[in-house]
Amino acid sequence: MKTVRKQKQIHTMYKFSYLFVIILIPILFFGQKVDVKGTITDDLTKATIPGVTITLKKSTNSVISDLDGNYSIKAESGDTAIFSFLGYATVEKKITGKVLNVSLQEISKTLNEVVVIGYGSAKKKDLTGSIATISAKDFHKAPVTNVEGLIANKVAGIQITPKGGKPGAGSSILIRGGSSLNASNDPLYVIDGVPVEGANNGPGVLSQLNPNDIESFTILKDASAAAIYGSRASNGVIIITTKKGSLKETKIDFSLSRRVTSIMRNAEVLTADQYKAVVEDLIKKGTPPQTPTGTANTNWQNEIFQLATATEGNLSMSGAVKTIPYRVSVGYLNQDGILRTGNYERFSALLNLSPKFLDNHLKVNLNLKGSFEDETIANESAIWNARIFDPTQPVRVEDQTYGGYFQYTQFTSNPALTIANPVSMLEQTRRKNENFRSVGNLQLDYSMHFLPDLHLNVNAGYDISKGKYLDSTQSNYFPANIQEGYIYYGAPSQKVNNTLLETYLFYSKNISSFKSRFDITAGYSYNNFLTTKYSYPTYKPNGVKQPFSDPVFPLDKPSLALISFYGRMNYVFNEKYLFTATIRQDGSSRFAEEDRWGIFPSAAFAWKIKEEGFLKENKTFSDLKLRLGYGVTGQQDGIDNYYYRSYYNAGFNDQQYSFGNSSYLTINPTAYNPKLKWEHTVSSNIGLDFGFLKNRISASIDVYLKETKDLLNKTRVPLGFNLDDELLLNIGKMQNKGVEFNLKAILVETQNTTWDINFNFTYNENKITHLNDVSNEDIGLFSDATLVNTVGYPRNTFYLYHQVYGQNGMPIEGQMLDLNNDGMLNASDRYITNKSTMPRHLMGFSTNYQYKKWIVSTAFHANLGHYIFFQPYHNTRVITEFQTSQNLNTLYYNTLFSRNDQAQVFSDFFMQNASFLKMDNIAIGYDFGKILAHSKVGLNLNFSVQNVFIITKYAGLDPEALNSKGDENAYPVPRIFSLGMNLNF
Amino acid sequence: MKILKTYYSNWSLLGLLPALNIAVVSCTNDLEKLPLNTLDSEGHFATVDKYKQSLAGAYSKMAYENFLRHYWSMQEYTTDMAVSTWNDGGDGIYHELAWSADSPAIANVYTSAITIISLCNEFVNQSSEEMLSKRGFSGTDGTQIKQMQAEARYLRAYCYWILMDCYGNPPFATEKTLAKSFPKQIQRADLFKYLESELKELETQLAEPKTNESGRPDKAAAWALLSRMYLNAKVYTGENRFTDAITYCNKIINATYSLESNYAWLMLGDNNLNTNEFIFAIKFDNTNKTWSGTNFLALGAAGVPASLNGMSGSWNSFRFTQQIPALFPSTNPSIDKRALFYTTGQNLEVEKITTSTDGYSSYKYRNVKRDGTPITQNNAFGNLSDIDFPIFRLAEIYLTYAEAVLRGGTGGDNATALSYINKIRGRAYANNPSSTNGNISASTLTLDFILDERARELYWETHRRTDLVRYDKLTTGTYVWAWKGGVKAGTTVDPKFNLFPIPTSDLVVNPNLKQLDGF
Repeated sequence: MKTVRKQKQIHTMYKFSYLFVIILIPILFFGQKVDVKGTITDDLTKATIPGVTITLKKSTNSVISDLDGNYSIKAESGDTAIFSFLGYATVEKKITGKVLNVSLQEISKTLNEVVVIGYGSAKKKDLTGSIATISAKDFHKAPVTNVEGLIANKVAGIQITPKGGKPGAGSSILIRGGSSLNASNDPLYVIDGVPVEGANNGPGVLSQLNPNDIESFTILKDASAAAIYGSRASNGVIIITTKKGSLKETKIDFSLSRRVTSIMRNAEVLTADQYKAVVEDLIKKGTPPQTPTGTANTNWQNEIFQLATATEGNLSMSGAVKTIPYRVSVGYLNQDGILRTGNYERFSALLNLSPKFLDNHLKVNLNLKGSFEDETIANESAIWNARIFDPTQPVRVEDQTYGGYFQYTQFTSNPALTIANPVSMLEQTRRKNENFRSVGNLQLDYSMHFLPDLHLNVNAGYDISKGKYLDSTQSNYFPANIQEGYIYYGAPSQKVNNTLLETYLFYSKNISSFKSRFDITAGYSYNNFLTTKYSYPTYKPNGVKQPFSDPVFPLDKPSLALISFYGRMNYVFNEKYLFTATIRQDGSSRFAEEDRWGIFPSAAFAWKIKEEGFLKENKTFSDLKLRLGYGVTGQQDGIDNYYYRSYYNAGFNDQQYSFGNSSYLTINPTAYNPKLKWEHTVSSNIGLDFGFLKNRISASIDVYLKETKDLLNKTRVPLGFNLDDELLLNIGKMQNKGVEFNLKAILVETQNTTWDINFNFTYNENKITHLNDVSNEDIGLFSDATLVNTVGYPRNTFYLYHQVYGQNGMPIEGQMLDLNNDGMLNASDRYITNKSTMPRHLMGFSTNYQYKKWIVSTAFHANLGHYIFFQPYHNTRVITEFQTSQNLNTLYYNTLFSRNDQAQVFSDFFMQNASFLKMDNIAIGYDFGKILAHSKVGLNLNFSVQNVFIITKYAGLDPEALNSKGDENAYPVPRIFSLGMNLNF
Repeated sequence: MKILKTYYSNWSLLGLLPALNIAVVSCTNDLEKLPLNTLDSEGHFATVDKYKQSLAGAYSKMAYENFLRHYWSMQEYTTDMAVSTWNDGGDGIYHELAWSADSPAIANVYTSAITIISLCNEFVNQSSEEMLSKRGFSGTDGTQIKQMQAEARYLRAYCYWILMDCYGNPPFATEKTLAKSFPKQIQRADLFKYLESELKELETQLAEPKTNESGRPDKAAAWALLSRMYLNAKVYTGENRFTDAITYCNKIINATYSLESNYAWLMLGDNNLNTNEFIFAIKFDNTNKTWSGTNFLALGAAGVPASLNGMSGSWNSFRFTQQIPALFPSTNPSIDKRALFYTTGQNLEVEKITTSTDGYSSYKYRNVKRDGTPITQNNAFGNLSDIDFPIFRLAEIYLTYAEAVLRGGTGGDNATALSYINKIRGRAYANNPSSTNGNISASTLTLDFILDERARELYWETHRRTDLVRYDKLTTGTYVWAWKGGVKAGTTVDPKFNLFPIPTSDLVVNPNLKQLDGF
């Protein structure tokens, strides 16, 4: 505290004197100008440096050093000259005479950066694997709700797609195309050393984290980097590090932002007039609608969506109490959904303490994070209903039987036959989810007193949560009127109790006589995942228990344990040749004893070509490094906990069966696969890192090949083969190969202006290379009715009929190409389209432009080459044959179909190229700097728009939809306008 | 320490140093995780009652998951018996006789039947001699479980019969192939042979007629299925087996079954009382959420009000074509009491398939007691059913006997055939099987009369499609009905529509399957 106070005093005094000087300058020093000259050299090489910017504190004058490193500037004696050049530490010198020679010290800022990797950290220059790091300065400038949004599309090979527009909803992250089919393709998230699984009750896996607390992301992309996480790393690892306190200064940061969100576009359905015209036409044809048209003109989508607002506030403080650095932060977010009645509220708090004891031999790192999420979930089924509801019907009616909403009351005895008024779905149902979650860990790193090169690291962590769930309807809610409404309240609804214990030894040694240094890590990790799910009876709104709604079991406790042993060795020879080898053995309770353990090795080599004699003096290349990596990773995530066991499930109390006069609770066997085993991914990677012009331009290119063996997939199996028509099997092999390119460049860097760009490009080709039990001539294994996994084709390739088109270019209803010319239309006329839901090319582009106190930034991304099966209501059968006549999508005008069954359902007419370019955000900020002369209060303001526009030929709502059929009934991702303010002390 | 030895490779020993050894041992044991609320097969099959719960699990599938509704739709919508208002799940294709392997509706029964077969296969494995001796079941317990095994095999045979009747050459899965190999396809005639031998073997293992609990099959259930198979044998194998049909009808008739005295009692909520006539039935109880079981048959009948069906108002799902009321002397039960037509607000003729008031309906299925009082709904929905669904009842056996005799089978005679038909007629006209009311003479008893009598007696009981195929009237021009083949006046269709193809969904995943000709 003493040091801090002292600093403060000095600072304040300086401020006063500065003020004093400003006032006195015009009087005392006016006119006392001198010509100052000098040469600027490199501190180490003594070479002169051209292009150095020299500015003065008291003047707007600035010059640049010439080719020989010489400069000359008019200045007042006593002023301070500032020498700055990219890649060098900035130097300030007081002008005392006429000659001022300066030597600058090179800082290879990026290369000496310390990067957090699995079980330890490393200098960036020593990395051998394909690792991307993004720190706070490179985050998107627009405020985001979820942490992954900070880095969306910033890194080659990483596809981050929003899971929907629901407030708080997270994103799906796919690294290098994903290695798995049905097993999870989510990467492993490690937050401050705690691996976090999807065992979470909130809207997203990472939703409890406040983006403002994040210091950096490290993404382990290739196997050589990720294999230290073994079985959990097939889809890469994302290591998230939160901000820490510092001994040097006390900082207080307060930010406030206000957002307005709006729907980007409505689904294109017929207007009331268009609908009436179609109906009139149908009546003329003798096929009247099932339910008569009304007289209203309702845009149902406008009735359910709203302009929503959000407020976010964050306060953080960091510094040190005596010798204990700390950082505390609290955050609050309150966000309304664009789907009316939905709301998401989040309170988050974080505490970090990072003291050192025993002469710095013992480093302690304590992280505690807590969050409370309170979600009011709007009934998302209303979205689909709004897109199909008859636009000629009114929202409200006078009759109050069903709360005054228009409903198809002719179906009162069985509302399941009809569809409900979307507005009533929002207003007459209530669903709430409350979740308290805490993630914390204590990490001790002890450097042995007798052998300081040997560290013992112990990390004990937990991830706990407790949720409450409410689902209820009013008694006059039409779809539930037979039951007189219902209330389901679960408190608690579920509890999660995950624990972690990791310990490792780390030994590093420098043997300069052999020009060698090496380090060894060896450790053990234990993870236990336990969720307790509670079940409760359902009640009527009047408090009477619904008959037979008692659950058979009041609770269930799915659990999983993972145990691992791992080791890593890094060896550096002559600061040029880097070797890394890792091995990990994992045991998972998800497999039978004989298949329980998997071994995952890796090896990598890097050559720092820049350090070789022939390049050392080269001015163009500031960095050149070749990386080779190979590794095996595993997968067991995303599959059922006990699938290898045959077991029996009890039926429900209200689904018994009678023999004689007794009712029996049924017990049914589940499908299982006793031979289930680890999925393995073997990957190789060749990468080249370059830096030009003192790393003003840096780039890397990676070529990779990933082969997944024993691919886990829930596959359609022949009926009668097992106890289900789907079975989790190790089905075969899949390959991903691709190229990634990353470029970062600072285009302009002058005193007033900096302009940087970041571009990344990924090409990924995915192919099924082998299927067990299926001959290569066969069509393959089906994921659903339209998607097949076939040898030689990408995973989930569309398998469809060729549509036949008429002379007017319109598809002819029901007419498909009889491919084998046998006069019949059947499955053998379908073809493997070679089009899949996976994009082949991903591109990301972002740029920041700073001029004086203004900063403008924007980001775009594009996915190319993926397809979506877009099949909304487009034929008049939904009007003439459905119990309730429903509205059509405007796709109808391209088909004029009157029914849509049999082969037409599988026509390639519906398969659309969904390539797109999206402007993710644009932000503008202004830094007021110190706003009060006497204080250190800094202020900046920013305004941003997210999800600005999408350019695509795809006719559906979102070409980035995660579903192969498009997300036509999903919560649309909204456009967000936000205004933010940041105060710091 | 044993675990340590087994799992530690040398390299990982380093990692052990910092770890607490004791913790590691206990943690490695942690990899043995068990689900909390479920049991593995050893734990599960510890008692006879557990076996029974598992058997109930298999049998319950006929009451749940829309099995009955789907089977009913397939057997009735394809014929003059019913048209579907809502085209639910694409079931409109049935009446048009125009399905393809891609039609979603045709996969329903196929999927349900094979799913039940798999459950039965699992039960057969769990109740094998080997398993019983391993688990220490002997004496009465062993006998009881062996009988349950026979009942599981019976259910499997019944499902295979449906597959043989509807799909021809289905995949063939047994306890031996379960979880081991993809089922091979079986040809219809081979399946017939298999079922014949299977049912004859079961005949010796099932309980004596009328001695088992309701809902569980006995010997008579096996005989009834055999008699139905033999009656239709020519369709399945090309060979007539009418003599065998008569043999098995006789076995049932000799087992002291008799017609209930009142036709209207047959499909009521308390029809579990019909023990004289019912041979084997699917059980329903309104405390259970058996959606689309017999509640669909009571609620689905167009127009029928809550006051009549004993539940809630009609779902208006299906009606007769005008050809069915024409088979009765009048469209009300004044003469033939089976004419339980609901005509209020309904037009006789089906002008349009999707108009729920086109075509008469029926209140044959009612969730009320014999005295007409509704049964209290013990659930939150107010429209679940207590009506058991008889898969076999004596009247069908009488009709089978008569038809088999007329078609030249031996072991029976015309006079007996006539007497059986007249029992049905006596009940129909006078609530008394012994009555001479409505009786016919020997000259009236023709094959065509029997087909019509089957329609009058067994309508909406899942027989019609099988009957019309046997009479070769389903696809040919010898008999047309409203909207047959999608044409208002009715038309001939391709004979391939006597069968349903293997659904594409299974054809593409099972390389052992070959599609039916023509599809």
